[in-house]
Amino acid sequence: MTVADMKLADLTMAELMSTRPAVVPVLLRHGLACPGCAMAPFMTVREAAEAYGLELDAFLADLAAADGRPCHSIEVHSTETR
Amino acid sequence: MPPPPDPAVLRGMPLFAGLDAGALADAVALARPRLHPRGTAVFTQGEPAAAGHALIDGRVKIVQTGPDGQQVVMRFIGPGEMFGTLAIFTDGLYPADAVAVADCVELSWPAATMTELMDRHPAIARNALSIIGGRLRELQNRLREVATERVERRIAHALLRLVRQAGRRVEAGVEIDFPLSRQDVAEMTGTTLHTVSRTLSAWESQGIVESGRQQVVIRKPHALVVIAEDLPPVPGRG
Repeated sequence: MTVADMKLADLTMAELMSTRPAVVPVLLRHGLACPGCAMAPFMTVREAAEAYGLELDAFLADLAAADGRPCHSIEVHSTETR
Repeated sequence: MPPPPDPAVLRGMPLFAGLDAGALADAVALARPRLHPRGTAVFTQGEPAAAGHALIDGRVKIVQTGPDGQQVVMRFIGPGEMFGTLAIFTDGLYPADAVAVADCVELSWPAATMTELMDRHPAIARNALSIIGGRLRELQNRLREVATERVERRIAHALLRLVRQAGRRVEAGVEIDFPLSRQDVAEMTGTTLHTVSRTLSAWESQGIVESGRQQVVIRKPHALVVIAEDLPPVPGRG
């Protein structure tokens, strides 16, 4: 797992979806109910993978490939969570 | 009475979104600030709706009592939200009680002042319409839940709504960050205290939630979503 992967894994699902909307179809394809979910601001990508029984590395690779950008170019914006 | 508030308190409030500094100053200059200690009423069901309200700090419970004495929690109001304002534009009577469930700081505008502000700054009226639209949609969802869903799903949905409004990440999971009793949950979901207690106890024994007398922590957020949304269980997991 690369440093960029670790950063991606520790984003909350809400941060992931707001900074990279292209991942939303990937999430739906994997059967995740995160888009629109009240828990999305509180759960990380890592926790979501675990909850859905997905293998983390493969899941991260799918997410990183979603909008054609390599992992290391991910910009992390902190979104406001209450 | 607390000192007149800084116009900055209105920033970030959906009711005043998009207003310039001059308009915010105008709104705040006409506001009446008040403190409401925990447990006291901000207004009472059936009394003439003298004002529109906005909560600066604390938490207010909006609870309506039916002719048979049965109470229903309509919603909880958090910091930055408007409340009690709709009655100005309907029959002029507050449709429910507003009770401070934590120490509260509130601003209110007399009915005539509120309509005058809306005339001077139409953005306030548009914002109010969008807030009311959002709440109507939420009530439609609740009506559908009450009409069609098992009580367990309704309780899960009620907790998720509260998480959306007042969730806070804590070590053990996601906490609903204000005092919430089992009776409140019963009154939000149209069921009995007994049913809520039975459901929460079952969830506690499965490690999904942890609830003290007044505090609720969701220890397994995903498990609660599975119940609320009727998701298929993850293979190999409970």
